[in-house]
Amino acid sequence: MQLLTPLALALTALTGLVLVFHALRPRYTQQEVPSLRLWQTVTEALSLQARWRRIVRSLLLLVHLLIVLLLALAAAQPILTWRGESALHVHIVDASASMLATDVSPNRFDVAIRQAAASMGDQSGRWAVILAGSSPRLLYHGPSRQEAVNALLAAEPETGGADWAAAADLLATFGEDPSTIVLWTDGSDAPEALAPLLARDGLTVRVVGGDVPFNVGITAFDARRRGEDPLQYEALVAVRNFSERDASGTVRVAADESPLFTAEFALGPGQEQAYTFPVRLEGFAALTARLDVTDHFDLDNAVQMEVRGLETTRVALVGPRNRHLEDVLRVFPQVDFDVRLFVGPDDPYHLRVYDRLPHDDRPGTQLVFAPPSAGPWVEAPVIVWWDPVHPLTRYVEWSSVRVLRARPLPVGGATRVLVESTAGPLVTVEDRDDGALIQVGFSLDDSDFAQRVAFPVFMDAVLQLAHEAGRQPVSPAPLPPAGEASLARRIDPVNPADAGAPPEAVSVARALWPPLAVTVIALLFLEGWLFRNRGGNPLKLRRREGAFRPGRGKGGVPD
Amino acid sequence: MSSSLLQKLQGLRLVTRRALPGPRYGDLRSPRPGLSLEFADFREYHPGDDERRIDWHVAARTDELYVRVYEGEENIRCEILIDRSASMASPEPGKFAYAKALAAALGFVALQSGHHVQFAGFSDQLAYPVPALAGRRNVADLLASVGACTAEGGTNMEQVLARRVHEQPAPALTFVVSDLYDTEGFHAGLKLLRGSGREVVVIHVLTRAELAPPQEGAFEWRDVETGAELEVTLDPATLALYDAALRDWLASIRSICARLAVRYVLAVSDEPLDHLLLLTLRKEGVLR
Repeated sequence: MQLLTPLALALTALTGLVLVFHALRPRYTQQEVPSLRLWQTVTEALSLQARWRRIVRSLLLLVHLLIVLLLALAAAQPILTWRGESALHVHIVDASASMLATDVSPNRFDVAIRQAAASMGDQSGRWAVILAGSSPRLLYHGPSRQEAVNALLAAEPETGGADWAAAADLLATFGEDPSTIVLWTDGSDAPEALAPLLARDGLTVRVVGGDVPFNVGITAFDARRRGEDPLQYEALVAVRNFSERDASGTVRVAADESPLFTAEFALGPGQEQAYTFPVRLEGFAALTARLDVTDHFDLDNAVQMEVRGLETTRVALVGPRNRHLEDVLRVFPQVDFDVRLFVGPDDPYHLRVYDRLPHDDRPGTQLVFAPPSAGPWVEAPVIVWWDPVHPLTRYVEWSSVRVLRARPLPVGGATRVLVESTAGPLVTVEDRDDGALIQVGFSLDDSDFAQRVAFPVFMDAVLQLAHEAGRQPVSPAPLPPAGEASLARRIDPVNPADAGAPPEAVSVARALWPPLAVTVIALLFLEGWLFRNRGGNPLKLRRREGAFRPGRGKGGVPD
Repeated sequence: MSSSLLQKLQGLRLVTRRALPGPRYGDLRSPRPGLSLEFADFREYHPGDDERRIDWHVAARTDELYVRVYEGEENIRCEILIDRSASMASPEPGKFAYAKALAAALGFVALQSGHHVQFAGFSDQLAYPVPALAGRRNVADLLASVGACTAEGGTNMEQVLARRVHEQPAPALTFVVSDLYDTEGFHAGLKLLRGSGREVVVIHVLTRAELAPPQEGAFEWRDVETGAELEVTLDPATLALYDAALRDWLASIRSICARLAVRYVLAVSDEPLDHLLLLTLRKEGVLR
């Protein structure tokens, strides 16, 4: 038996307190008696005049001592452990992308789960199966070997990495020390990442995979707009040799099955080669980069990327002409703006900019400068705070913006203040059903905001909020996590049995404080019953009354 | 006392172990020759003797004159001394009431038998509420004086009994009704009583609680006579010690009585009075 908090055993000292209470003379009931002649004889014999009395054996005292001792033991949180058939065998299977490598047939993951299932035949007790992917999952935990095997064989690998720290946390939730912990992995992760698991005592690491894996993979595939032509792009594809020998092959890029680019490569161990090439795309296109090479890891041999044709963002500048707004909007090639005095309900604008005019209530995003509905003008407000997280303000240094005068903006229930000044809110945003209402409490003519670099940054964020497709036409290609493509073994197998550690039965632990607490409660009830009945025991009374039989024989003879 | 008890008491008589001289003719055997029908002895004739008592058969055989002597029958003096100290009535009055009822019953038996009765209460002083009584007509006075007796004060039996012997040295049948907590004074006084030729009957009255304290717990007790206080925790061990001390005390009292040829009766205050009078005292030879 183990004690989780052995210091709590110090509470057993309370038994001394119980003894003191039993030895301490209680409060007295005052009574008159005919004579103390006989009692003085008795007290001389017992020394009852002392402060303390001799502790008498009583069931009540025994119950009190038991209660204190059991409480102290329960507070120490005893754990009863034993060794036997309930030994727990835990199998942790690496489900990261590198386990899809085919340097062993059919792949590393399949070999790992089959070897793990086979190893269960030699074990008895209970089993647990953990699939260690990006979010480790407990596939099975119980006494059935067959169900554990079935869960193991039904597992699928993932295309991401493995979170080993989360796997270790999951293992810790079992609340007992497993007799065996077997980690099935290809060993391609760094030992530092596996440290939480490797720190467990009794861990066995079984490494699957060939000794000389060969992999050449695409490490980057992206595209960006080039020049003023909205249909002209520049694409990038990078290839790396992850193996220890030379590699050569062809990289091909195609758009919707139409070849765009082809290049031969020859890479030494660890070398990487990047290729850039122009592409002209109209509308939506799916670009695919593919390596013509035979290696052990197919996941990084083909990558796909979506490129949409640049969509025009239509902006309406409502109000008197404003040179600052027109100049900044010309910077953005996807923007097509009109200067209007009025915007009708059917005009298809992604963004409506009101300069010193009230906004409307129609759907769509609106940007309002110095709205008339705001408060009275305040001279020279100083910006004191801005939201460093919100996309509209996070890249803008607002403290250097000087404002000659401004109208503090009203704040409603759904309004979020982005910039605060000594006069009140200067920039707010209110999310609506179809767009957002962005209000700026000052005019561009009344501040130096339009002359600062922060202004086009702010407008870029506004345009992105108003029309996402107009700014980012490329969806980057999803690539395997860094490190997964490197199939080389980075940790060695670990077998604690080789070090002499017993692999079989393990201690099974059970917390003892709940039954102890129940016992204490039962003893408390017993104590109450004993206390109520201690003075009125009819058997005692009859025995006392029978001590004398006055009137019998000569003058009443004691028994 | 109930009328039924008085009816039962009318048939009772006092019994003495030996003949006691009395003031006048009665129904108890006298140490002096008398006129009863019980033959006692012969003695030589002296001039002046009644010639009718000369036994002529003896005179014919011995040629001398002898007269027949018959036992005398006299009444006796009966003293009833009741302890009226505070311990008899506190904390519960049952013991003193029981003692008074017992004294009244004994006085009634003595009066209706023609004896002289002297009732006295004692604590640390001796008090005579009424003078000596004789005859049934004085039963009411006896009962009234017994009923008027109250309990108070301490106990000094040696001094009280010595005064009694000094004031009335003549032999008598003396009943002492007490709880006998003044055991040393009781011993010395009993010697004086016996030395004066009295025949003594000690009736020791105790309550049930004094014989067997029924409760357990912690108490602060105060002696009603001395005012002394004592803190006692009653538990089985303490009660066992009290039991032993009580046995020793009662044994010492019985030993004193036995050495002085005094009859001793232990009475418990919750015992029916007729049971004591009609059974226990008759069995002890005090009444018949």
